[in-house]
Amino acid sequence: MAKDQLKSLEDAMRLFRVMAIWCGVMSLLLWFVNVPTHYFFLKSYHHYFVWVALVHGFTYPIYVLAAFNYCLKANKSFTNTILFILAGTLPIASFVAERKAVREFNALKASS
Amino acid sequence: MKRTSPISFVVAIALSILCIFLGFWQLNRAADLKRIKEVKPEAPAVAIEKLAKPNTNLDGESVNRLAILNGSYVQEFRAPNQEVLIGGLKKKETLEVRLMKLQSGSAILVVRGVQPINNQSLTGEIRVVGRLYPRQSSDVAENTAESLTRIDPALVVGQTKLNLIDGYVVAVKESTAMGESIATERISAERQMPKVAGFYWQHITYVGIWWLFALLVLLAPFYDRLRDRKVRVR
Repeated sequence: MAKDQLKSLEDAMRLFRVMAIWCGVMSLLLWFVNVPTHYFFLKSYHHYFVWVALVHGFTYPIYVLAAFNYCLKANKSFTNTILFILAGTLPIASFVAERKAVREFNALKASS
Repeated sequence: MKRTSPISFVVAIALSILCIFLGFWQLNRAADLKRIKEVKPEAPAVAIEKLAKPNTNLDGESVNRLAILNGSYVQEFRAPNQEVLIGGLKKKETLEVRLMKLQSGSAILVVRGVQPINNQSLTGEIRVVGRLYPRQSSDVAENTAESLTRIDPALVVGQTKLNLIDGYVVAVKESTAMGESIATERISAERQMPKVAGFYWQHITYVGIWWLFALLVLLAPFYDRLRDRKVRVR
């Protein structure tokens, strides 16, 4: 594998990692703080967490583009790409995707 | 190079159109939210006969208008477990609802306020200024003989021969024919706004996401050509 290709993949993976961690944190806040205070308990505190849905909504498209870019460069299958994109909507899933990307990249780097 | 099947193009275009429509749907919701938040000036109070006719569905334009009612109370009901605003606080109260026979011969339900401990005797001509609301559609209380499970003229049809006007009025002011004001614990009669979940910018973000998905779905048939085949990550 050419050095410039590896560099390009590493850049894509770095951007994906940042966005995956960001989206994971925002998803956790959304699912376990924003939504419960909206519908289930401590409803009077919900207005403190309104920003979570907005920030997650505005940054998720960046995550989608980062995941798409990484998957294209990593030559991932179409199904895997869809799974990587959807991982940004579920808590924990984007952390799993991030760890998987790092593992894959390190294995590729070691083999080349 | 492997050729892309025409079916995948058709599916991609169909899904992309669906995503675009979902984006427009969110855009409409954002616009609805913006419209609801706009403060519209209060229209002057007019006679109820100008706003609604008996035995016909209430016109959407008449909802939330201030109405003037002249007539006499002919029947009394209780509406338990109603969520109301009193002094800015949400409470569940039993409301006093009376059927008013209007001078025009028809009748309408009037919510006077919170049910008092001792019932007021109100005879003769009464003038009410209040806000007109659409009938309630879901039950909030147990069904008993003397109480209304919801404020809906359909529930009192069997108890009167009068022609009923759709909806109900929440009294803001009540006075006798002599102009003497009648006091009772009133409830807030704010304009009812349709509820749209979420916030304006939240819906705008969804518009962006759906349209981005539409673009990505269009790229899907070309995915194999776009990806870097020299790299193989497992």
